[in-house]
Amino acid sequence: MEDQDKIDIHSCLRGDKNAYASIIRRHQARISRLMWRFCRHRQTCEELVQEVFVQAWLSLKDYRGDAPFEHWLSRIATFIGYRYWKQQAADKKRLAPTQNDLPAPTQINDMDLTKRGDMLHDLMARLDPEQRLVLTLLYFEECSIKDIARRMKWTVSKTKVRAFRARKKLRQIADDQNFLERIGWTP
Amino acid sequence: MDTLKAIEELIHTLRGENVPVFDVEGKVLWRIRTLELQNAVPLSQKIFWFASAVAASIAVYASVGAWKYITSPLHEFYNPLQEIRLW
Repeated sequence: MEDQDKIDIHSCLRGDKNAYASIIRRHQARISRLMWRFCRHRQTCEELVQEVFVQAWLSLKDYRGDAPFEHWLSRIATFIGYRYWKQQAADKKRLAPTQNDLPAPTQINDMDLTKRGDMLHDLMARLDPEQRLVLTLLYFEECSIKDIARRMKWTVSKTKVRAFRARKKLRQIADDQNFLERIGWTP
Repeated sequence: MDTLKAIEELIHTLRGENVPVFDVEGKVLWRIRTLELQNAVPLSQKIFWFASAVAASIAVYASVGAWKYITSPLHEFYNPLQEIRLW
């Protein structure tokens, strides 16, 4: 896959759009999965996935090939998702007061994985974008602290502090909201 | 159980969630083509820019020659006063 990526990138740099189409086909499932961590609204998520591939096309000439293309693309996707969160946070601050309670589920017993995922997404939306990003990459993408630091160009110590604070805040918010009871989650 | 541990386990379960896969190939290529079209300058516009630059150069060349004949309006304003007899 990596070799095929390199061949296609060379063709893309000569202006071959078909080569880029095959790159998109190879990576769109993984990028869709990653962007779903940033936005669980289908239409917006699709737009974010598109944005990732458009930005990647525009930056393709800067890809040096040191790291696998997959990692390079994930980095762009993470930055776009992070930017989306920051924009959301700014809009929320400007337009409406913060909501204090999570929406109550209608029937806890019927709650499936997707609904639980939605509620966890809402809970994590109460964190600062950078804290949310650290936890998302740490838990969902199973990145190490070093990986996150490298991906976001942060220092390792700064990333560790952010992760620590994010965990603390998430626990506090979840306790305040009785989150586990609300979603009927008993591990 | 600790809340954070429980959330971590929930997240672990959520990794197996069915995630929608978006087929964005067509839309991305369309957006790229649109961007390229927006950035591309049509030939007629390039010709217009070139003609404007030539016209501006001719105007500057002609005006440099005429520069030495231009009198200062300020000088014209106080110059006649010197000829007034005060006594």
